[in-house]
Amino acid sequence: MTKFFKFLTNNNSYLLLVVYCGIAGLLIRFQDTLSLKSLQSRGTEFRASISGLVSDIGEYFSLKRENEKLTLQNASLLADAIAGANALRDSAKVAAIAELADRHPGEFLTARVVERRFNTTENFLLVNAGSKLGVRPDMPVLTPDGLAGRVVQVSENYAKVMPVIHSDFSVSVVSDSNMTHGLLRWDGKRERIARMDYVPLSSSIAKGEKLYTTDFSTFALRGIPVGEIIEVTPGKQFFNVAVRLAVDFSSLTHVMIAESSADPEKIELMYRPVTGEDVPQNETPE
Amino acid sequence: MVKDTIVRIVLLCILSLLQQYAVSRFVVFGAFPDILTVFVVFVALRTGQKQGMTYGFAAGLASGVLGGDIGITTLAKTIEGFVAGYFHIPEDSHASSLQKRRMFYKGVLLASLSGRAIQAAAANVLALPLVWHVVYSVALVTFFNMVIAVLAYQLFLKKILVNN
Repeated sequence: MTKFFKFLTNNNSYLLLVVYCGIAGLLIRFQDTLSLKSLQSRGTEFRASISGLVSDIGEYFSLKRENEKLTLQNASLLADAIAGANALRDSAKVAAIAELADRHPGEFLTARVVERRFNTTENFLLVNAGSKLGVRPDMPVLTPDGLAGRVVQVSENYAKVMPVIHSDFSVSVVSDSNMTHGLLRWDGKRERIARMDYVPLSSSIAKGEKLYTTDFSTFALRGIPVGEIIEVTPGKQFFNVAVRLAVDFSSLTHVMIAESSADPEKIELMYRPVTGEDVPQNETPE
Repeated sequence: MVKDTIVRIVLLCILSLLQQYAVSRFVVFGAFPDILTVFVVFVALRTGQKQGMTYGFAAGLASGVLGGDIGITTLAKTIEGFVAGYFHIPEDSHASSLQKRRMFYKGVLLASLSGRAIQAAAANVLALPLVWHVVYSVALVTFFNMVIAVLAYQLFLKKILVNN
């Protein structure tokens, strides 16, 4: 017995090896049992949570790069969205213009606004239709909503348009109900508000009447819508008439140029100076 | 003594996690180094065969719980600790630094061979014929472990082994 204990003491490393290997053997033998599987599944959960933590830390450091990538994607998507929205808007306007042009074949040229400048001193539009397409100065420019302006300068491929909202622009107009005549001007204060001058106090003009161009105009065809009267106040000799313009210049992308304008013969006659020969002699009683 | 034990246990936990989440991702030709083997060998060199086996057993358990194959891993690491125990360097040893270094490298070499042979025989992940798989896996992992051992010795273990 003493010898056995002495053997164990001297060789306790082997004994420990046998114990550990026995436990390992038991773990191998029973590794499919529920308790060991449960232990291993907890280990897997722990490992997964640590992996998640490591992954989160990695993601945190890559956030800046991800953010830059997302910003680029966002910019690209925004550009696509803007382009799509523009295409939709343009197509709606072009469709309206094309519909009107189809109803009057040969009378209108359609053009796109390629440049615009709106400030207090000089407002103008540049459209991509010029003398090559038959555009000439003094042609009226309009949209399906109404009168937009008149052509003032022409190059081969472009035309400069003086819009209604220009301080030098004026056009003869008439109201639809009372047939009151006047001269429409823009006073440079508010973009869509113009005034109608020379409306005598004796006229029965009223708020809500629509205004159209008349035959008196030197450039415009008769009957183009110009705007609607929104305010009438009496002045000293004439009414002060405020007109809301028919065309919204802030969203103008396409226009039509009327090929036929006022009769040149009429214009020529209007501006011809009256001489003594033209005035008939007064008849004297014999 | 107690302080050393606590330090070793903490180190064992850290190295087990490091092995699972970092070192095991450096897979080359289907094998990866095992820093726990180097740790077990170092403990066995410093403290003897019984301590080496005990730490090997604990390292196997930890590694098995985290990575799977708990029985095989425990057995392999226990054997590694047992084999490395033969290269134990007592504290009052008069061995030169060169001898200590050789003992350490021999311990890592033999422990890796024996431990990996058991693991390779049990898990043939490359689906090679068994003998080829064991030879291939043992050789590759032993080589990786020797590289780790050299790095660890030069960076950390040299000071500890030579100074004591």
